[in-house]
Amino acid sequence: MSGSHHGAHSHSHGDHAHDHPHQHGHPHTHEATPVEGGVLGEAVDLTVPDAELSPAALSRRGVLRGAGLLGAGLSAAGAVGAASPAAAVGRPGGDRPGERYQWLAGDHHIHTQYSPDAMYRVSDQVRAANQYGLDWMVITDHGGETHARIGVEKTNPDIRAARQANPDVLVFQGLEWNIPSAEHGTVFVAPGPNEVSVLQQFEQGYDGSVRGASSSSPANEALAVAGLTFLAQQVRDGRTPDALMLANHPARNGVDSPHEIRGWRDAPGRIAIGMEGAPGHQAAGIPADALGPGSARGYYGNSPSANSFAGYPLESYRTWGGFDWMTSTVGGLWDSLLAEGLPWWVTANSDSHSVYGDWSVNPTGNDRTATGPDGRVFEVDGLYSDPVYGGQIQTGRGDFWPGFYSRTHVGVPRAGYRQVMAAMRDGRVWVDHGRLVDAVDVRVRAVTATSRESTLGGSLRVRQGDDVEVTITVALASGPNWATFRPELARVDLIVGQVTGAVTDRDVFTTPTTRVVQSFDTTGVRAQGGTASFTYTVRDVGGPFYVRFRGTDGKRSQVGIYGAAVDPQGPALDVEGDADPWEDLWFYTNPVFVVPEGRPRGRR
Amino acid sequence: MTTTSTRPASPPAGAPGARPSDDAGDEGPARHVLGLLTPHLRRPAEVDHAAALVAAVPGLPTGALVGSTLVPGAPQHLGLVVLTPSPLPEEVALAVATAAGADGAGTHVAERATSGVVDRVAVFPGREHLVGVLAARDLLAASAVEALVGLGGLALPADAVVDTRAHVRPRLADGRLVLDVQPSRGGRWVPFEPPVQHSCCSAH
Repeated sequence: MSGSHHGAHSHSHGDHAHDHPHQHGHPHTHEATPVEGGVLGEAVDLTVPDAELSPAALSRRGVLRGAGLLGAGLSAAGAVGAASPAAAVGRPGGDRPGERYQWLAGDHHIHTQYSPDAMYRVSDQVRAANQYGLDWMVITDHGGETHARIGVEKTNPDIRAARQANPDVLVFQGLEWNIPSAEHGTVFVAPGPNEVSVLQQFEQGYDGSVRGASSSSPANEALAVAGLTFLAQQVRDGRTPDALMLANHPARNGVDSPHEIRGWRDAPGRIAIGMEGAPGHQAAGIPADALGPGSARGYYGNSPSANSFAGYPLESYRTWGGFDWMTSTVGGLWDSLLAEGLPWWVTANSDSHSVYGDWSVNPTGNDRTATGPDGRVFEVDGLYSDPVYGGQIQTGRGDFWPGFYSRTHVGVPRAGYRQVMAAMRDGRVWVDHGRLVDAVDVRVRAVTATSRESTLGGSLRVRQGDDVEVTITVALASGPNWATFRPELARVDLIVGQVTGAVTDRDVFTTPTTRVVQSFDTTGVRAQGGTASFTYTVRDVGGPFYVRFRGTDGKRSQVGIYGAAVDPQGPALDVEGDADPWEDLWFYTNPVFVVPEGRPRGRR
Repeated sequence: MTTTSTRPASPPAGAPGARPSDDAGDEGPARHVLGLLTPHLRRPAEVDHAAALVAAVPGLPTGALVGSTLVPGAPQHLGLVVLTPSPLPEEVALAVATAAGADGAGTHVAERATSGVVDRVAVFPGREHLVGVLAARDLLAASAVEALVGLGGLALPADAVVDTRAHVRPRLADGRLVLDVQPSRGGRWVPFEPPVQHSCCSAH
C-alpha cells in the first residue's frame, strides 16, 4: 500500500467538517438513561442486530422505528424528543465490519432470445459474462404475455445448463418486470425448486404489461406494491430463499415518480433495494462518425409523456457522465432518499439486448410472428431462433456484452447465490464503468473507538461529539479494460449529507445539505504504486449523516445542477449522438451511515 | 364552451424575433385560452396529430398556439390547449374541440395556460421555417420562439447553431415561448425533444 505517499494521504480538519453533519442545538447535556428490559426489552437494545431478534421483538422494533423512537439511543430524553432528526433515523445497515470481503462483479440486467427485442442464447450471454470477468449475473427477459405463459418456464433449463457449463459464474433467473404505473425493474430470486413458479406467478399476477396496468394511476401503483408484497410472502413462506427488486433506467422516461420509489422501498420485506445508478446501453451514444449508433447514451433521449411525473425537470431525462440523473445529481433524488436514513442502493448494468460491434443477427429481425430457420415463432414458442451470422459488423446497436463496460461489485464473505443477494440487500456494493479501478474499500470509524467500523451499506454507531474518520482506499486499474487501454483515475470525491429523517412530501427529490466536501487528486498515485488511501475526519458529530464516494477519469465535468457549492466538478450532461463511453468513466460507491447515539464520550 | 383570456407579461408570442426580456411590460395583446378535455392523448405524437387538425380549422385566428400540458389524475393525460390573440367565435371553438376529439373543457390545462404555462407547444407562428440547421438568431427571427434555454443550466453562446431536425416543440413559460436545447455533435445544439422517441422493449 502506498497510501502515505505525497498526495495520496490527505486529512481534512475541523473547518471543513464542522459546518456540515454537526447538528447544532441538539441537547448534549442531559443524562441519558438507556431503557432496558421491561416491555421493550431486546427490541430497543441496538447491540442486538435485527437478524437475531425474535419475530415479536423485530416487529416491536419496527413499530418503534416507524414512530421515530429508535436510533438515537432510546434515552429518556430521547424518547421525549423523538422529533429530532437523530431520533428519526434507524440504523439502516447495521454494523458492517470492514472485514475482508470478496468482491464479486456482476450485472443484474441482461436479455436473451426470450425477450421480444433481443436475440442471444442464454449460453451466449453467460459465456460472454464469464469471458469479461463477471462472477454473477441475472437473466432478465421482459415480462409480458408470452414470457409469462411460456418463456419464463423455457428459460430455466437453459439457465441450469449454463450454470453447469460455467461453474465460475452465478447465474440467477429473474425477469424485467414492467412495474405497474412505472418503468421497468429487475426482479430475481435465489435458485431453488420454485424459482420458475415464483417468477411465473409473480409475472402473471403483477406485471404491468400482462395485467394491462402500465399507465400511471393510483390503482396501478398499488398493484406494484402488491407485487412486492407477494414476493415478500414467498420468501416468508419459504417458497424461495430470497427475492430482490431493483428499478431499472429509473429516470429515462420520467415515469418513476419519487413517491412510487418510496412506496416500493417501504413495501413489506425489503424486496425493493435500489435502482440502476447507471443504465445499460452505454454504447448508444458512440458517434456515427466513429462508426457508432449516434444515439443518446443509455438511450436516454426521450421527452415527457402522459405517464411522466410532472415535477421532473427536463434534464432528468438525460444521462450525466453515463449515470442516471437520480444518482448523478449531488443533492438530488438518491440523496433525498438517503437523507431519510433509509437504505436505497445503486447498481450499474449492461441491459444487453444486442451488442455493438457484434457480427450476429436475429434471423427474424425481431419479428415476433415470423418463423425462424428452425421453425420457432416468438409469440408461439416464447423465444426466437438462435442468432445467425449476419455477414457484417453491427454498428447500429447500443449495448455492450455483460461485464464489458458496466460492473456492479458486491462484497460477500464467501461466494454463493444467497450471499450475493444478502450483500446486495446490505448495500455492500460499488459500481464502475470501463474498469476504471480495480478495487474500492471504504471504512468509517470513530477516532476513539477504531475497533468498530462500518463499510458500504452499513451504519456506524458513535457517541455524540465523537470525531469520525472516513477512509477510502482505491486500487487503480492495474491492467487494460476491454477497450484495451488502462484507464487513469484522476479524482475521488467525498459526498456527505445529513440524515434529516422522514419526509412529509413523498415526491421530494432534493435534499439541501448533501454536497461534495472534499476531492482527492489521484493523478500521482500510479507512480506511487497504484493504491492510495484518503482519510477525511468529521469532527464533533452531532447528528446522523451519511458519506458516499465517486471517482472519475476527469475527462468530462461540469458544475453540478445545484451549483458549485454543492458539486463543483460533477458529471457532464452527455452529448446527444456524441458520447464516447470510454472517454468518460466514473465509479460510485453506496453510502455508509453514521448514527450518533447515547451520551457523549467522557461526559459522565 | 367558453374561452378565458390572459394578458402575458411579455412580448406577444406572435412577434417575430422577440427576445427574452426582463421587462415586465404588459403591452402584449390578450391571449385567449381554450382548454380541452382530451383524455385520449397520452403521447407527444398523438398531440401533434390533434394539434395539426386543430390548426387546420377554418377561422382559427392567425398567431394561434396549440399545445399540451400534463394533466395529473386518472387518467393522467395530455390536455390540449389553444391560445389565440383574439377570442374564438363559438362555432370555431366547437370546431376546434371536435377536431381535437375533446370530451369537453379542460380546466387544468386552461388554468396553467392562463398563468402563462404550456408544457409543450406543437403549433406556433413560423414553425414551418424551422427546418435544417439554423443560427440561433435566425431561428428566433423566423418564428415565435422567443428564447433558447440550455438544458440543465448550460449557457448558450451567442453564435450557437441549432440543428432543428425539423422537429421544434417549445414550451410556454411565464407567457414566453422558449425552446429547450441540448448540446449535440460538432458543437451544434438540438432541441430537447427528439423527433422519434426511443421506445424500448415490448411493454410500453
